[in-house]
Amino acid sequence: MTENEINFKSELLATLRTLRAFAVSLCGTHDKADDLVQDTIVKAWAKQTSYEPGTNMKAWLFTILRNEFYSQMRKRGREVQDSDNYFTDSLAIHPAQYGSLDLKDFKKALDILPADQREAIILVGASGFSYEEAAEICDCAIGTIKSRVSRARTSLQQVLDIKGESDYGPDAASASATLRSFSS
Amino acid sequence: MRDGANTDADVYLKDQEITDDALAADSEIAMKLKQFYTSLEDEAIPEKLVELLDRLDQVETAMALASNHSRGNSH
Repeated sequence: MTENEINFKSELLATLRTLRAFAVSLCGTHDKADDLVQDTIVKAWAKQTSYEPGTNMKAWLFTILRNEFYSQMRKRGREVQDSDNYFTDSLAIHPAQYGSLDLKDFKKALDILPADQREAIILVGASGFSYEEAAEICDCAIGTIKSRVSRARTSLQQVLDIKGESDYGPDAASASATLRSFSS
Repeated sequence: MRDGANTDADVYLKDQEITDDALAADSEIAMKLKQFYTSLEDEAIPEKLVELLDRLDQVETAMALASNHSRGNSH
């Protein structure tokens, strides 16, 4: 095995946990997510000559996984995200460690979001990608990602009824945008 | 009002100050998002995925050996 091949496998292994977390966020169920990760690994392995060592392996894998997810969705002709009872079953007994929300409620709120908003807020807010990287992964403009993240945040806030953030709510935001466009 | 941009579902938000702050501003959502994701990352990788990688590795090694072998024969 060449050095590149060894690096490829170890880099892939190092990315597996975050890749799988993204898959669960997209699919909603652990079973489907694991199948998706499996398909992604096979695809990535077959395409490994197109990966340039030293470039962003994580973004490369996320892109493959996301493309695979949507192509499978198209084949099945369905858009609705499934949801397993993982969080309901395994985490409901734990008290919320931070803040007043527990993860079970948060997962439910995430599931309500349209798929494009959910992936945008996960990529930027949890997977650690910049807006620019997220835009590349989702094959859209940065402005689109920013808009999706912003709308996802607003929806989550409304669904979860988070208090004390009215200053950052959509009314305040759009009001200041409107004022600015008038003043310029 | 400029061409009703605010009514479009996929509107471009050009005001960067607002959107760049979208996650930093609400600490609770940002925190929950990370907590949710970290709880997923903390899960053990299913055995079948690790086995898959090992299998791919073995196939590749076997193929490399086979091609070296056939190249050796042609000389």
